[in-house]
Amino acid sequence: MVTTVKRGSVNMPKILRHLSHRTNNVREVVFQREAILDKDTKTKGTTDGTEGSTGLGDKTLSGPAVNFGYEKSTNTDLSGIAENTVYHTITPELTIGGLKVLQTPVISRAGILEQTGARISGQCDFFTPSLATIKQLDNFGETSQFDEFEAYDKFIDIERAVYTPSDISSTGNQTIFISEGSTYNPGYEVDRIRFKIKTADNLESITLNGQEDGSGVALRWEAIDTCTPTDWLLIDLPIRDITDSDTKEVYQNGTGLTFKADPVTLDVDKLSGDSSNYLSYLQIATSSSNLIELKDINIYKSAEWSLETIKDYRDEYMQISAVRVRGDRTSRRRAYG
Amino acid sequence: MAKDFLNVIERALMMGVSDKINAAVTGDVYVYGEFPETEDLKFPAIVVQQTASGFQEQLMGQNQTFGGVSGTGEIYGVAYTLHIILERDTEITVGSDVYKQRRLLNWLMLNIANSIMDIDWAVYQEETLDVQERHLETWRNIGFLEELQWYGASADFMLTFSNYRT
Repeated sequence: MVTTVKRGSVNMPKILRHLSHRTNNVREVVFQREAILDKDTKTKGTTDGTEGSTGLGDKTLSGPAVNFGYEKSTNTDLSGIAENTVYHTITPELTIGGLKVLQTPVISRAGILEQTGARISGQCDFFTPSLATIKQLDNFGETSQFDEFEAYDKFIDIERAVYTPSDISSTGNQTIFISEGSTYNPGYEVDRIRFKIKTADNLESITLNGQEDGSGVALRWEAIDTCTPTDWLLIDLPIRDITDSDTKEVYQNGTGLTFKADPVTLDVDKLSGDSSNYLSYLQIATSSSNLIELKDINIYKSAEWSLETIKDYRDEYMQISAVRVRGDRTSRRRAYG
Repeated sequence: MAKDFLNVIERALMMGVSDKINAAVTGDVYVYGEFPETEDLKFPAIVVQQTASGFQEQLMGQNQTFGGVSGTGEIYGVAYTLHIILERDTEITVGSDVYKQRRLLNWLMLNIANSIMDIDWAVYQEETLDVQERHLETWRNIGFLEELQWYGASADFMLTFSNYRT
């Protein structure tokens, strides 16, 4: 059956396209939803005195499984038949880039001094194309995990592009310098790295290097799943507050590809921007020496927006109110590392 | 070794109440350890909400014997508020009768109270417990929430246990 997406009387994608030539309030955000893990559940007691017991040694509880409400650290497929389990299907983190939205305002920052310290918050509205249009976009329509926006989903925006190296079209592994000669660029300002890549080779790793107290430090995101970006693939990964063996997903054609942080010796907050403490270069390693194209490389300070209110005007557009739940003062990052 | 009595008691309490209540009815009664996410919520629901915990009583010289082993400890108290929530059309079969609405609420209030007093902790505990006292206060806020079309009631419950460490 042929399905068509109604453009609505507003034609939001066209408006966004036109507006983007006139204002930077049209943003390309990354949609993020956290992984949904198995929940802690009990179907059996400790001894066979339970009411659901049918025989000696049986500890079955009567009634439905008791769901304690909190998550475990596992993300597995469960049928719910096994002891102390309930149904669960693997639900990894969703991180899908390339969502064009109109944001007002782009930066909203209010300092609130609380008993626990200073907190930076803010609020804004996003105007997005209709859900039907969004589901036609790369990855959004291809993964079965995304069906609609939900409260507490997140949009990650480039609040400030800190380092924007030039586009590259070359072969083999690429080294992109952030600090050259007597330039010592700091790391404390940046949160994430984003770029688009196209190559026939497998993308093997992305390594951000720096110098801390004059010694080399690095954060390496290693592709655990085979990642072959024969068409433009948007990579957007965090580079701040990462611990060894953390994993993140990069979505390609609706499938999450896992990247693992290993090793992690780089702490961007400690790179204050002097001759001993600075971000030095970015390395992108591939499996062979075919043509590699990189564009829109951006090492940036991010703003994380948590969706609060979603108003869907069907074929027209969606108005989403969001709050900024996390934020800090970069001056403090530099001072306290 | 660090002890985990608060979690062990909360889990045992939830398992104990669910096990006892469900054994007495045909149909499922659901017990939650916090206000459930909307997609998890099924009725009738019993929510075990922990509201407070802390030292109840100190012992002479902090000495305590637990299972024949000496250590230090206190009597520790933990308070919960139990909530019963059911929808207007929630029904449970008790014996051969179908119970709904206020009749079901009344039955649940009494039988949850009975279940709590009858819990044999050894059947549900995942670490050895020494629960000393349990007190269920009166059910209150018994009624019907018009906006949600829910029947409900709440009661405070507290217990004390030996907080023991070597």
